[in-house]
Amino acid sequence: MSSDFLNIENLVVEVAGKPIINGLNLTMAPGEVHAIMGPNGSGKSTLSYALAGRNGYEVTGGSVTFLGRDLTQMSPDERAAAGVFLAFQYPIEIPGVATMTFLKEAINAQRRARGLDDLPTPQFMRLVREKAKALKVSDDMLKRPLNVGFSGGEKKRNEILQMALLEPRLGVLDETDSGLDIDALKVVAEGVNSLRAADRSFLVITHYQRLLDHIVPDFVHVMAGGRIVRSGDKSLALELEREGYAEFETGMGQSAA
Amino acid sequence: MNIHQNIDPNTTEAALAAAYAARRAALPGGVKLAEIRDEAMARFKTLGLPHRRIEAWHFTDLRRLLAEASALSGEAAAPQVADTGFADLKPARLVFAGGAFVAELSDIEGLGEGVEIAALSAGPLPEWALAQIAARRPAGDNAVFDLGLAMMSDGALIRVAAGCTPARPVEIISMSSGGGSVLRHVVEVGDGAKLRLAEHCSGEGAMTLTAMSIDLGDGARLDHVKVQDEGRSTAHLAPVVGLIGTRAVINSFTLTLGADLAREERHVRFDGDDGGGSISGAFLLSGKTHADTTLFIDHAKPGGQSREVFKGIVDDAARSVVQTSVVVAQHAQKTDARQGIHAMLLSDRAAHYSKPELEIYADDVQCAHGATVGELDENAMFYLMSRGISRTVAEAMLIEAFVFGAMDEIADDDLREAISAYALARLDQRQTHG
Repeated sequence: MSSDFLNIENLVVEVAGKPIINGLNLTMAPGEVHAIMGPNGSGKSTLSYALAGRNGYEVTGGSVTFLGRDLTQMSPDERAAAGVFLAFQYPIEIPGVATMTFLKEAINAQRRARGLDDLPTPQFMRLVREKAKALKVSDDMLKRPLNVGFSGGEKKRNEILQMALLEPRLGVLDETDSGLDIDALKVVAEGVNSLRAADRSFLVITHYQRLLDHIVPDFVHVMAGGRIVRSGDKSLALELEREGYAEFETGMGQSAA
Repeated sequence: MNIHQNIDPNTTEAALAAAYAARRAALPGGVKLAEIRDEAMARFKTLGLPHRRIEAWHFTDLRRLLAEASALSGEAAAPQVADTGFADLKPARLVFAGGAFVAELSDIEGLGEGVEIAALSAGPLPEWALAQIAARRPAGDNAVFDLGLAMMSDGALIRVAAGCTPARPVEIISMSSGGGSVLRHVVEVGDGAKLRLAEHCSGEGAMTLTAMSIDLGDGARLDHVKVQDEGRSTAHLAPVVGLIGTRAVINSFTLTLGADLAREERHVRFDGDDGGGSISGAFLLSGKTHADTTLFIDHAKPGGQSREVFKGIVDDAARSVVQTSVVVAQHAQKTDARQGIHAMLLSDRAAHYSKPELEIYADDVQCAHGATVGELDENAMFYLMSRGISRTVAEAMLIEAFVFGAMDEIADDDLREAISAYALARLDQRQTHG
């Protein structure tokens, strides 16, 4: 099975010379939500960084084709312009860079890459206010330097705000639920659900089933030892919740960071 | 202090001594000043140029680095005032070109009551200026300061009487060409008086030596900013001596951008209770520039508060040196001194040396120092780029965020804006050419 949207074939990713992803296959069609679950060290976060193009996550085998383009040959900003968005597990604090300046720079950079003019400031302000309100991101947060002094929940909401503003084709959510209480989890999940669309897909990486009560996936994959070892529908997540990952952790041969 | 005997003058030292002998008769000032000059030259000859075996010059071997400079010879080019970035402040202006005051480019009228402003060469030296020149020298041996004292051909004399504030900020513009220039500025801000002072140094002279002494009376306030934007062949030497009175405030900020070799020295003595301020700066270095900033902060009396904050980037094969020495005297209780030196290296060939020092003889003080040297944060770069921002723009954003943290040290809003705009324009150039 293959798709014009996202096609990952036999992917091998090395970090510091050690293979963390070992022949991973995954195909996604537009509008789908795929969840990737798995024990710690199974390579889930590595997959998200490899998709976003982080330095040090070297693709040494296989291919990643996104909307007909070879993603592995593109820089992180080119991938973003092509429609890939990574919601970070640990968003980076950048003192001295104002949140609004950052948002404006990001939106306009992507508009320019798509041949559009910069968004006029009043329109930009309106857009941010409107999207921020839905995600309960306060004016005060927007006035602060990027992610500086944000709580864990605030950081995650800020990630989803960025996703809402940048309107990617593929949203990769790397353990977005980690460190969130149930209220914050609901806000984030609603934010993601409101972005679901026929031409937009999500890859939701999580350790727990909890998030998937709120962002209901079309497919659930289990990752272990750098591969997808089992796939199913949403009932697989419930089964994992009951049974745990023990079955997948035995005989893995190697673990990863 | 050790006594350094210079038994074997090198060619630069010999040339400087010869230049003094040749010019002595033509240098401004009366008999008194001539005596001061002679004594200073005698000390300079004894000491010679400082070299790396003198601790304060360990990272900047002036004797070796100045060896190639054609000391103070050559013709001055026609002066042309560059955009110094302070025009919006409508400042009074003293313009010096090639070490001489240029009256037709200057504007020193209309500063209001109690403000005396003149060029050192303009006539008989006022008593107050002569007294300050005679009395103010850095503690210990200082051959560079002595050289300036001997050879000064001109300078700004600025005096604000007690309780007065000039109607406009004052700007000193120094443009060097040919052999260079030796200036000596004398600043006195009386009790309760205020002054805003901006300095801009540019040009292509071989050597510019600009010494300054600052006296702040009780409750006086000086907001001082300096832009060092000299050409890439210039040696820029700038020792400053400050004597700060009770409850007086000195905020002095230096933006270092150019020169082949630069040495900023700040000798600041908080000589009355509760004096305070910030002696800080930012640097954006590239090419082969070697820029050294060395501070000697002396908290001699109780209740002083000072900040010494330096931030900058070092690119290409440039080198930066920041040394901040803070001494808290035995009776200077409740002193609060904060030092921070932070450099970012943008190239494998760039280098930075930090030397924060604290000597505390009092027991009830708050003093802290921190120094970091880093590179562009790859995690932050990836975060910005993952949102579609290009590498070049992401770099510029992070550099700006890093360096501009230092600008908060400039307390005066207008001066901070002017300095920030100047630095930003330089960063934009880097981005365009980079």
